[in-house]
Amino acid sequence: MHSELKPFTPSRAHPFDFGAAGHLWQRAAFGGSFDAITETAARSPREAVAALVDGPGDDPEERGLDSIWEAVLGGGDADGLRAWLIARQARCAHQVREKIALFWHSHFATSLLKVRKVDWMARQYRLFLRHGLGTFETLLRAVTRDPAMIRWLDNETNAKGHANENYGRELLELFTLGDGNYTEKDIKEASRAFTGWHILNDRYHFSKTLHDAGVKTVLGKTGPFGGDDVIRIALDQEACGRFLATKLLRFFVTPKPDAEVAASLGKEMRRNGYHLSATLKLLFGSRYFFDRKNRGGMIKSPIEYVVGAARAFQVKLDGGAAVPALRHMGQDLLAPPNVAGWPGHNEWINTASWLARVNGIRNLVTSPSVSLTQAGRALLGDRVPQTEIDRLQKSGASKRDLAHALLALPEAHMS
Amino acid sequence: MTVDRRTFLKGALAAPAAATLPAFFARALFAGEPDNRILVLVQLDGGNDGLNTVVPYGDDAYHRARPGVGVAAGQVVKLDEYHGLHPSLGGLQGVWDDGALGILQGIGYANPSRSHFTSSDIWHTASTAPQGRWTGWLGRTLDRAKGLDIPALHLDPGPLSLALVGERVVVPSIADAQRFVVRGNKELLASVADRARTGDALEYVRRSARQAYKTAARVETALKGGTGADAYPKTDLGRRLYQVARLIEAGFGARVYAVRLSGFDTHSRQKDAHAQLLKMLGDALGTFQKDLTARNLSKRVLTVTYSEFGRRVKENRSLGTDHGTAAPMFVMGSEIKGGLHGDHPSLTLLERGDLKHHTDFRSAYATVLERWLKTDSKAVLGQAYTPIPFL
Repeated sequence: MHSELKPFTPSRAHPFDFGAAGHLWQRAAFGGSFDAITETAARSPREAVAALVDGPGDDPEERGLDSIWEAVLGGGDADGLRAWLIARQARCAHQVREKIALFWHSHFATSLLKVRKVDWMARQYRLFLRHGLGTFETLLRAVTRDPAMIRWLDNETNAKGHANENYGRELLELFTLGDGNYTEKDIKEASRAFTGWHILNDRYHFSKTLHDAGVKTVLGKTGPFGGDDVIRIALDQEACGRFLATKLLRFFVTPKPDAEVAASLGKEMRRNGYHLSATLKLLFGSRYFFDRKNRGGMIKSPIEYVVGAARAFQVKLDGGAAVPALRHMGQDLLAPPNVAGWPGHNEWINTASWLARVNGIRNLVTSPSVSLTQAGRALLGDRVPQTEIDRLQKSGASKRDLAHALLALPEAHMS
Repeated sequence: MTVDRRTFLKGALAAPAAATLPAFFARALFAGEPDNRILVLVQLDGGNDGLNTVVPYGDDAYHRARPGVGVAAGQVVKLDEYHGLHPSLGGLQGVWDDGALGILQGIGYANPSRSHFTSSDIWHTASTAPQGRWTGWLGRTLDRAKGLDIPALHLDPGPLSLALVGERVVVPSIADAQRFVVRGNKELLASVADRARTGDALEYVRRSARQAYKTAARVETALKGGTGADAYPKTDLGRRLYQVARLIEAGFGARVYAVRLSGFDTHSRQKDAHAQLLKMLGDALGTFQKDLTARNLSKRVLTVTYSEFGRRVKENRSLGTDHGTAAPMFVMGSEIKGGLHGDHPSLTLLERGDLKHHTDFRSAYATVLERWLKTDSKAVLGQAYTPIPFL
């Protein structure tokens, strides 16, 4: 294993302090309150990471949100579903599960704009919540049978004798291997293995008559493969571990992951059977994760910004109001811009999305229930000089304007 | 309209607001560039089906390959005995008749990628093997220009086009010029973005914030008192092109405007969806060109469309078309040489079922850079490309 992936051991020069604990909350979760970060900083990094990844046993907030699930779905309203998902991110105690679900949503990047069925989208998102921390193979097999995905990538028209390559292509390019690690021939052959994987009565349906049971050659392996065989073959590739590890690193740690660290993490993932909670514990507990060069340099997604602001200022986020605001900021849940998901990083910020962030947050974080000092610490850690905060406090502006100005600091948009 | 414009400019120049209206009126982007020329770039996102855009209706091979999604010979807007525009592009007929529409045929690049992302990156960076930090061809162009604080404007709710990413320039991107305003305590908000930061991403965020506040102030001034919006189609593209025309007229100062029309990834049941997209495109472009003429701006503006790839010649079994290669580009403007440039690629001599390109897309870029913006295309594109004689 790469030395950077070894466990982070705090020292006098690199303590596990409020700043480091805040970093863990920002990246592994959607940010913490001042109290939660303080509590985490009192633990060892290993305990802190395990507690976050495993989550608490019982969560009244989650029970409350689950109890209105049927009503949310019955409404058939996409923004209602979005608001429910955002409320989960803001309030559920098992934060890592919510965060990894968002990662998978961007990874599989299915859009309601084409699927056009809110309940299908809801069902797909629940797969990310249910299997997001389990093994990737279980998740991928479920997603490949998911009606929203089947419709999204046109697999309904993929049939023996006239393959539609859309799913086969994206499976290899975007879900498992990455461009350059397969040939056009692999795509054609892989697509044949998914022929007949259709939808009937809103459910996955395998049509034996439309399935091409013939011999295929995919990534150097030959046989009468079915879809699950192709998934297994793709997962066996070294490129798959590296590709997923790179994506996880880019989502949780740095826009520019070290290639050797990514390769090593990929190897660990293949070794642990692509088990996500094991992988995340390793990653969040690593030297690489806590390295100062990987702190404070990532641009938050709009969801991370808004949900994180609500958590730092301890306000109850109005999901219904957050949804259109997030849309203007460039992150409309259930409608990623294309099959590659949200590009992230610098592309989150341009002048338009900046104004949308600063204008939108003003109406979402209105009456903080904690002091500006504590909210500021939770939000910014030690990344803004105290003199800057003091200058703001002395400006004579209203409490609302001050909270707004804290959230308009460039550092408030970084983690 | 002319009176409006004059009154507006006079008022703006006389008032204290003049400080925010810069001295770009007489400023060339590059030495030798005569008259504040502007480039409007229209991205057709998703891989536009070139064969159903400029239809080779006179070719039997076309009709054979597309029994389901093809356009019948009797329906096209005829350009000659072989080529016709898709019927939904009727909005461009007037532009064609005026000689202000050019069609660059067979545009592509060698060893084409069929990935949306890789191919879009190739078009935007103008490199088939982008290395190191990625910059766009126009970002690099604008990096070389001096003295423009808002050199380009991206009008789209999506991410900033990679074409406009430079090493130095920060190109503002706005979803809707009409709603580009700052709410709250403007001075306090601006003050927290004043201090320069260390860290690339952090400083990028800060500069974007400052650029946003500055752009908001200037757009507000420029759009005040605009007229003529009603003539445009009530579509996102129509509204954005109106705003481009109005910003140009008001002297906003950007030299490149980029807009995007998405949804061209027509793998299944493409007929209606594609027709709708082309109608949005044709109607908006046609109106834009007419409006520029009416505002006496047409001599200064060149409009160019592009897409990351065309689509396969043979339709698929889902009444759609899969990712392909070579496709046509539109160039539009009163100063261009209209008509067809280059032959239609053969529909029978294919490469793995796809059209073979005969002209590299960077030849089109080089033409725009050398003959429109009057800058050294080699410095931007890394090598010389043969220009296409539409300019």
